[in-house]
Parts: sequence; C-alpha cells; structure tokens
Amino acid sequence: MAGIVLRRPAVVPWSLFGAGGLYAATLRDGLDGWSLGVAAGLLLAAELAYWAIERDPLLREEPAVALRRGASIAALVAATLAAGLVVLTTAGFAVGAGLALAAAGAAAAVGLLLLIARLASATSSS
Amino acid sequence: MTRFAAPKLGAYTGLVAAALLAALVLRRPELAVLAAPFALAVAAGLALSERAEVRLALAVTPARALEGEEVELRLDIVAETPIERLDVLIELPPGLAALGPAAVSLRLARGERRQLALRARTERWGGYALGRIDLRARSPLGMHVEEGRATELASLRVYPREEEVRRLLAPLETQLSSGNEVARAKGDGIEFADIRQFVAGDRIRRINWRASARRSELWVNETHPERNTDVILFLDSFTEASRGDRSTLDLAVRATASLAERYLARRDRVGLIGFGGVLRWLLPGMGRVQAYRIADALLDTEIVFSYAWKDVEVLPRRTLPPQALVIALSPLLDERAVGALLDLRARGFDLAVVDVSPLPFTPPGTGLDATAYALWQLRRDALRYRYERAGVAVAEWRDGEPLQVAIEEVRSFRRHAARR
Repeated sequence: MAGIVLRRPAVVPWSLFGAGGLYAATLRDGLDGWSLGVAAGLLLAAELAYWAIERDPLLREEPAVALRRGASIAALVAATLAAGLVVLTTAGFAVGAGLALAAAGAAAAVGLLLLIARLASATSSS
Repeated sequence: MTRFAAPKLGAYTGLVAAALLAALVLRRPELAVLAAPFALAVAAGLALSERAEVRLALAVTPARALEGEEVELRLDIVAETPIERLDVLIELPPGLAALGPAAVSLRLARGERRQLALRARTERWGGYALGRIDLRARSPLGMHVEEGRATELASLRVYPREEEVRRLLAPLETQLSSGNEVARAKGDGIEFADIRQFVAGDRIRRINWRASARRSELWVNETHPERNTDVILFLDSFTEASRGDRSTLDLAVRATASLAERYLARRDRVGLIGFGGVLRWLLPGMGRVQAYRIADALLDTEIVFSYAWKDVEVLPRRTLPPQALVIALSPLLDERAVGALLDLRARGFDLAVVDVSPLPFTPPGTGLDATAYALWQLRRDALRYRYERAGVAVAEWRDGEPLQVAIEEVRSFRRHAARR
C-alpha cells in the first residue's frame, strides 16, 4: 500500500519479502498445500501493485492496453498454479530423499538464476 | 531509444533468489513454490522482450495561423516491432495550449500504423518548432522499459492578431506614386483644393460654373492629387517589460503588424526596422508580398540582450527614405532607442512615437519601491516632454486600450503643432 500511495516501486519487493517471511514462520511439519494459493496471491499482489504505480493519471490509456495487461496477469497466475503444483508434487515424492536431492535442488536453483541472468544480458545487449 | 531494466525485474529476481535460498536453508519446498511464479514471470518476460522500433511523422494544419486560432497536430506512428505498451506524450512549447489530452497509452502490433490527433490553441505569435515527443515503451510483462524523444518534426508560424485601427496617421509629405493619401500639393485628383482663374490649356470640365457666373469670367477648380506615402515602422526590441505571458514586445509587434497591414492596403510603401540587440530591416515595399515579408520578419523578433551601443548610423540609407513617416513603437526603456529616435528627428524625419507603456507590467510596490516607481514615472514624463519639445508626438498606449486611442492622440498633437 505504501508503495502504491508513495508511487515508489522499491517498496513493493520488501513488502512481498515480509509477507513471504510471515508465511514461512507459520509453516509446520508436513507439506503445506496452501503454498500454491500464497504464491499466486503474492504474484497477483505484486503485479497489481506495479500496475497501480506505473499508472499515470495524465495518460489516456486505450482499453486494449488494460485488457491485455489484465489477461497477462491472469495467465501468469494460472501458470503459477500449474508450476507450483509440479513443484509440490515433486517435493512430495522427494521427502526423505536426503542430501543428494538437496544438492540437486540447490544446483537447479543456481542454474535458474544463471539462466535469468543470461536472458537479461542477452536482451539488454540486443 | 534507451533501454533499461524495469524495477520489477530486479525485484522479482531478488525475491526468487531469497525464496530459493530460504527453501534450501530451511528445507521447506513451500518456499520454492513461492519463488516459482516470480521466476516464471522473469523468464517469460525476458524471453518475450523485444527492442521497440517506431517511426514518427508529425503534421500541423494549418502551418500558418493567427493568434487565438486553433490548429491540429496529427502524429503518425508506425511500429516496426510489436509494442506491448507505448506511452506517447506530445509536449507543446509555451505559447500553444493543448485542447485535449496530449498523452496517450496504446498497444501496437508489428507494422501497425496509428494516427493521434491533438487540437491546440495558439496563444502567442511566433515561430514554433513542434515535435518534442516523449516515448516510453514497455515490454510484455514489463521487464524492460525503453525511453526516447523525438524533436523538431514540424514547424508552425503564428502571426500576431491585429489591433483595430480605423484611422491612420497622415504623413507631412507624400511621394510621387498614386495612392490613397491626399497630397498637400495641387494637381489632378478628386479632392477639392481651391479655385483660380482660367488660363489657356485648362480643361473645360474643370470650370466652376457657379464661381464663373458670379465673377463674369471663367474660374476653374483645383484639386489635391492622391499620392502614396512611405511609412517606416520602427520597432524597439532592446528590452521589454513583462508580466506573466504578456509583455510590451507582444503589444508592439501586434501594433506593428496592424499598422503595416493598414498602410499597405492604402497602397503605401511600408518598411520595417527592428532596432535592438539584433538589428533587422526591410526596405520599403508595397503589396501583399511586402505584407508577408513584414509578418515573417516580425515573427523572428525577440529580445536579445546586448550591451553594444547602436545608433541610426548603422542603418542603410535606403531603409529611411527622405520624407518618410517614421512611426516608432517603443517602451522607451533603453537609452539607445531613445537616442536613436531623437537623432532621427534631428535629421528632419517626420517622426511619431507610440509609447508602449511598461507601467501596467511593473507594480509600484511599497515603501522605497514606491518612491523609486514615482521617480521613474517622473523621468518618463521628462523624456516625453523632451520629445514634444523636439516636435515629436508621443502617445502612451497601455495594455488593454485600443491602439486607435494612441493614434488619435498623435494626430491631435500633430494638428495642434501644425497650427503653431
């Protein structure tokens, strides 16, 4: 809310980080199926916050722009649910798999970040 | 266009890293689920991101307008690449006021052409370079932003609106060509001048039969011919007094344009001298072409500060024909213009001064400021007296008053001066 009111995009990730931290603090033993909903909710909140911050009252926005953006957010949320389901299912099978799987998970996380960085540098230089 | 990462890209990437790290450390796969949508958004946003390319073309209709008229700006946008969101802001220079939204957000497909129309009102005369257009393009999912600016795509010339002038100043002397001014000399014309005795060679139709019957000998009518005049408009552009968006220079330019139009309509020759930091002149000429030349020259008039001393010696001789009527429009603030006008009078030119009063643009203030203001007014009165002693008619013209009032004041002074 503060980010939207003050029109400061830098405030948004900290609020999401705080919300995620609060959720992590409530986790108990066992796999929490609500994580899917929380993930989708956080993404929706982030997208709507950035949309509100980027919105300029002086700009006359064509309806196609708003419709397209709304559709993109909806598609992202749907993709989130699907991707989250895959992750949870994989995690459910992997409970008790041990150190090897943890190492594989860490390597996958690092690899994902490297891929993102690679894509970012490729699009910046084009 | 300059491309850079949107704040969202860094924020999402940071959240993904933090969530994955927390998932590894705390051994909670739920935290990896939290990271998944943001990672997906970043990956999809980067994959779909494409450098935006647009072509712009701006046209303004009409390209020449009068003050207070409306013009229409049409901006053609052609997208060479698909653009998810393009923000277009058309910046208008001071002197033009937008009558509709000047900023719009739109989505463009590859090769799509769109036309944006914006109506604007011309509030001040001048030459305008239009086309300062700010663009901002966002990629799909908003991971990249590109910003750019286009400049000087079209030009607009706004001419000063005319002040209403019903009667013009008559010069002391006329020229040899035909015109609308009744000459003092006698010759062929239609304005009755006098009667005299018939001499051999006089036309029969000039005989004044009533006078001839009374005197029992032939008497003929004499007339004044219609001649044209040379009028030089002297525009002082050394300095100005201004308040808000109005200034003495605006008034002087409008008055100059009005007088030029009226004198040219009478088939008089009109010349222009812009006496200021930048010296400009137009040799006297007639007709519509001269009207356009004067209008274009006036559009380029602006205050250019200069400390260089200038007098009438710098003017080419042909700009000031002998027996020309010189009408000066000046706020009488700069010594150089004041001195040049007195010099013209000393050289025998027929001179009239319209004092474009700076008083309405300078509030008197309080205390010492009010005393200084009163002293300044006294100095101006003394200057006016100095001109009048030299035989120069000076009429004060204030913002909001018709120009005709000042012209009538000059006519009245010249009429009474002629009688003395």
